[in-house]
Amino acid sequence: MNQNGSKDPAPGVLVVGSGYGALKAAEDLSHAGIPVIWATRSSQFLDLPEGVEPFEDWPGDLNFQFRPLYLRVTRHPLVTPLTQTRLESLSLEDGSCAAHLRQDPVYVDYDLCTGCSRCMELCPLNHGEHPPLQRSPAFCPSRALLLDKRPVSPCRQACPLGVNAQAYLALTAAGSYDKALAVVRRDNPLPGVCGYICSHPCESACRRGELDEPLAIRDIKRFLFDHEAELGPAALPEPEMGPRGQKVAVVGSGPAGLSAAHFLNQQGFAVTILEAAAQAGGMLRRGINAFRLPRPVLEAEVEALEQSGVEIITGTKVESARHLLDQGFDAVLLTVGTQRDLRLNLPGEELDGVLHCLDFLSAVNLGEGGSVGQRTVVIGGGNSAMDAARTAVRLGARQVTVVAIETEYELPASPREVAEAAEEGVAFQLGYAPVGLSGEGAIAEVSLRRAHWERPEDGPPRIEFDSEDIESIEADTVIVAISQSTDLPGSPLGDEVKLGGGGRLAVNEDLATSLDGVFAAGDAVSGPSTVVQAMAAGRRAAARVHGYLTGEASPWRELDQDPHGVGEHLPISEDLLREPRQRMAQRQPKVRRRDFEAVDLGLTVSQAQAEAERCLQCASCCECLECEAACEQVGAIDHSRQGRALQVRAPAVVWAEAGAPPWQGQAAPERVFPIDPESYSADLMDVLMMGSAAAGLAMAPAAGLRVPAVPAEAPPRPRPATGRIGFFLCACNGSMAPAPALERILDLARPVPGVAHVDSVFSVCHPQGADQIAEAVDRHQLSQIILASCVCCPLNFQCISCNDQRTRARMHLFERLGLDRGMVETVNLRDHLHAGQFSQEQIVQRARAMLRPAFIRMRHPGALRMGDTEIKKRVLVLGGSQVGISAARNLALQGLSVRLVHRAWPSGQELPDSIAARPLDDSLEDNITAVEAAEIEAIRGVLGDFKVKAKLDGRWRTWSADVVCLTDENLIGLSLYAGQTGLKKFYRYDFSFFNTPHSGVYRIMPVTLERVDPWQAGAALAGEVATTAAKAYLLDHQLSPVVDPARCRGCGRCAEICPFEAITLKQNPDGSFTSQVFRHNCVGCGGCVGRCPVSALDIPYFSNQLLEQMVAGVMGSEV
Amino acid sequence: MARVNILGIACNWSPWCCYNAAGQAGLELPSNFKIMRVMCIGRINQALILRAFEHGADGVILLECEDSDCRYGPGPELGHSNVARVRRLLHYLGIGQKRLKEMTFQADQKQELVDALWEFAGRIEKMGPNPGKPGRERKAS
Repeated sequence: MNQNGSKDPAPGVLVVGSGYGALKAAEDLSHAGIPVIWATRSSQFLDLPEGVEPFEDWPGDLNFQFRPLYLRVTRHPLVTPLTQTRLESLSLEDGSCAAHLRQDPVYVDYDLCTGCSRCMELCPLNHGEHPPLQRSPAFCPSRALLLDKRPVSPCRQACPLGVNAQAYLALTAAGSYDKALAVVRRDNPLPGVCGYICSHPCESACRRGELDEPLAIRDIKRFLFDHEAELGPAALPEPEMGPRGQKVAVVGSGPAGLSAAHFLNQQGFAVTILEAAAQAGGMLRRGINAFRLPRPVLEAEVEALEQSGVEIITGTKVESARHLLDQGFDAVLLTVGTQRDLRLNLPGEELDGVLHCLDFLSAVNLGEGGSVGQRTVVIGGGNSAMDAARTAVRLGARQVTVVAIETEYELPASPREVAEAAEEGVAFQLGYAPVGLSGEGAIAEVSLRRAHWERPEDGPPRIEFDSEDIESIEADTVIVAISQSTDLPGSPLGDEVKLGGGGRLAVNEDLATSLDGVFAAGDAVSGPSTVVQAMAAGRRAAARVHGYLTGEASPWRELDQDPHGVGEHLPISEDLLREPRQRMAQRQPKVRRRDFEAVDLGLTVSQAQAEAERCLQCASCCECLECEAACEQVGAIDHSRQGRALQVRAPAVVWAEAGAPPWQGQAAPERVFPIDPESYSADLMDVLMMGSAAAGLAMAPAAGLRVPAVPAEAPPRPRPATGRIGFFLCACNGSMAPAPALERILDLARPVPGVAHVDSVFSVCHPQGADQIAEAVDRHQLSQIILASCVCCPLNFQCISCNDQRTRARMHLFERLGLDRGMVETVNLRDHLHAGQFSQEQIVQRARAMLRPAFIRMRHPGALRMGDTEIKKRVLVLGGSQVGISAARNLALQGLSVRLVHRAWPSGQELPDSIAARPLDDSLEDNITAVEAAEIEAIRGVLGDFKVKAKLDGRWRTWSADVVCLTDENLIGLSLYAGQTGLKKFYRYDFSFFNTPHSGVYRIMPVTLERVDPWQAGAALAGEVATTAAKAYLLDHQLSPVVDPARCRGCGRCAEICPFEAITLKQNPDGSFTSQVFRHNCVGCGGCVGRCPVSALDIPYFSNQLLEQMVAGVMGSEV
Repeated sequence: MARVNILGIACNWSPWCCYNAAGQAGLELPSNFKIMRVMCIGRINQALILRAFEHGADGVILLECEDSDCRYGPGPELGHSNVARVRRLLHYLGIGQKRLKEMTFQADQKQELVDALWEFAGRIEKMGPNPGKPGRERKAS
């Protein structure tokens, strides 16, 4: 029954859809011994079919009343329950239906979830408007949590590294800054660098932009980094893998190299970075100004990388990759970047005062000096050009002009950079291309022509001039900032590995170069890109190196290869107010242009909080994985679960959805038995009857799958009569009470006389928790145990308070592990301890009061009744109405032996004319014994042993039958008393509308026949009858009473009060009477025991003595 | 004033369901309220109710299903007749018939259950300890 197993279920009747009708159909089928695969699109099985509204006079507690039935069916060994599952196609193959089903990922395992709700407490989003984790509805007994996981948020999809921005925003909003930063570091080892200077494609993708402004995702990342830096040095997570003993050299310490080194280090490789410059950082240090990326940030992150185990050797220029391999590195990764400025190739470019961007910036950034003239012209429109211009301002240039071909809106530099440059006094001459540089020895003038980019579809972009006029601007310094290329052509390294276009490194799809064991990534392969793109390239290369060295699949999932989540992003609520994004405080332009200190000051705590709260949380679940930590021991939550496809072979399909089944090829409607959603328009009985009818009809084609009898409960393991009591306290995965309080509750039990073993269990409803109890019972020779958990009773039935966890705990303990139910007393502490509301002392006192009755019971143990009675499968149908004929024929089709009496009447009544005039059906199946007419004197006996006295052809005879059906209205008086109809009374019979109080006697109600087709009604009756007739054994009710014949005086009050005919008076040889209990007819209410004036009846497990002791004890003060 | 004790005898069906639901919802019950569960209110006899007073209960409340809801049929009717007769006896014994009460609930009436228990607890608090309590008897004699 594991929902996440990958095996296809064994053949069975496929029930598609949810609601009361489907529940009834699944019940009838499974209880008749036929396997059922029950699939619903919904997350629970009582969801009404599409378009159906509950009836107006629906009782408020109706769904609660369905709990026992729901649990009996969904936890039945013959039922495979599949939630969130769609039927994709249905076809007819070899005479049965082949169904293709698809189940959405089930992130919370229904078989393991303890419902402890700790995940909900830890989820940063669960106090908001769209809590991703929700309990199933209150009436729905599963209590398993549902996780709403929509497709990955656009911000995360847009990030080349796939950094989970949604999660760190959620955690930031919840005030968990350290956890938020840890989420960033899962995918990005340089949160500080990226927090300051990332080009933030996430923000461009942010859906909040549709409403007002995108989230300031980058600024929040910076806030997280700065916040951490205030508290201590930055630290990367410990490597995930131990040392592998393989060495990797990474050449170059730019973003690609640092990223690759980090990810390889995480996987246990010994990584050495070789950097030509004196300090690590590559382009982050050479090309990016300190006022954008303060050096302490870069240094802290490089330091953290070294701390985590990466070796960085600076001042070493690598001339040969092969040499590195020879030195003992198992692989080499070249991330050498683009180190050479492109040139304009215009006359005059060699004049003094004509500088190139990277040379200029690196001289300034590495502290080697650098100066500009009063009038500086920067040629180029990218971020580097802005950096150059702003650096020129800071070096004292009076007039800085940026010349670019692009218009303002086309500039490749980020708008924020452009705006800040303008604020600092940089002028722009846009829409111009330089055509010449001139001057006497030194630059004096730049000639420009109006131009724009022409971007033909079939070719590279080219410059198109718009005017013949040549304009010029005066310049003392010109900085050419029109992109970079590698410095590999002509270098020793460039001679060793194959180069591609533009001097870039040529790699295959595995990012391998022409040299075996040598890989390449980053700008040296792709040409100039952004920091985050280079880092992503570094990780991709790390994955290839990992694959090359280990032969294993990549340990890092790339989002584009891992689509997950279900449905659509959360909608933007109409109630959401527009709210501008938070902006970092900034130094004034006239102040900041004087130095190289940081321009922005970062978000404050309250700003970061407010900004993070603006996040729309598109995917609902943000995958911060906080909940997995809470569920570690239970193991119910797994965010990486995938949906699955299932194939099912079904002899018949019960269709409880709107519309038609998705047939492929030839439709076979005779295999599909619908429960029309229209039936919900009448009332509950009709719906349930339609369910039974569908089940009854499906049973004929499915008869071959019937298992002889539903596996009976295993006989309990023998238990020692040691008088040793065990006390077990369920911690409910830590949610029962704080650990010290649990320990004190255990201490309460320790000194109690007879207590031999005391222990806590992490979760009783978890297989391992139940195992722990069973082992302790064996090891400590326990004869009785008290189980303090959420379980209310150890009995083998469900009441309306029951839920899945309670049912599961009992399934594990009693059915799987074979403990004797009678040795266990359970106390539901879980629902009533209210640990969150009280002090430790109060918790302990509350537990003490609740545990007291359990210890009283230990002193008055009483056995549960555990017997069974064998039954056969003979069905007597009285009344040849259409319903009777239909029932008889459906039962015969299922292979049961049936006697049908066409015309029957109770003794002392006349046969109504309508029945007398009814023609006989003479086309009945062979295994139906037809009788034309009979007078029925009485139905005596009990289920499995009825004696029906009948007069036919003038002679009295007695028929034996296991089940009797009354299918003509004139016969209903044989079993039904006044006042036993109506919806509420109906609960009593577990919604089996054909049941009479007399177990084993079925009848049709006139009110039913007014509404439904008699053929359907007969099929439904057959379905219900089959649930009894399929059984081989009838189990005793565990609470059925015993009679003390010495006390019983035969007054008959017990028999009078029992509506289930479970008590009869047996005449003794001396003429007196003694009560006799039919234990399988008994329902265990104890009404007879309460009614008995001489206490001759008693329920061993719930004895009069026990009740008295409990009444006395619960108000006492001992234990 | 001495603390009073209240005993609730609850049917396993609707009232127990309300009681559990109230617990799950974190609704607080009077701290002097103790509960005992039986499968059906028809299970208990008059003697048991009287025993509760004998053993020191100051108030007893029977928590039952509505007549038409009884899973078994005759339970609440039996409860009514038991309560009527025991109340008479309590009156004769000088304990006071108002110390015994019966209430019926549907399965989704957790709030009603909690309210009824607080109200009953308040009433018994006002009435003070049951004069038939073992300790008091001894003092009187």
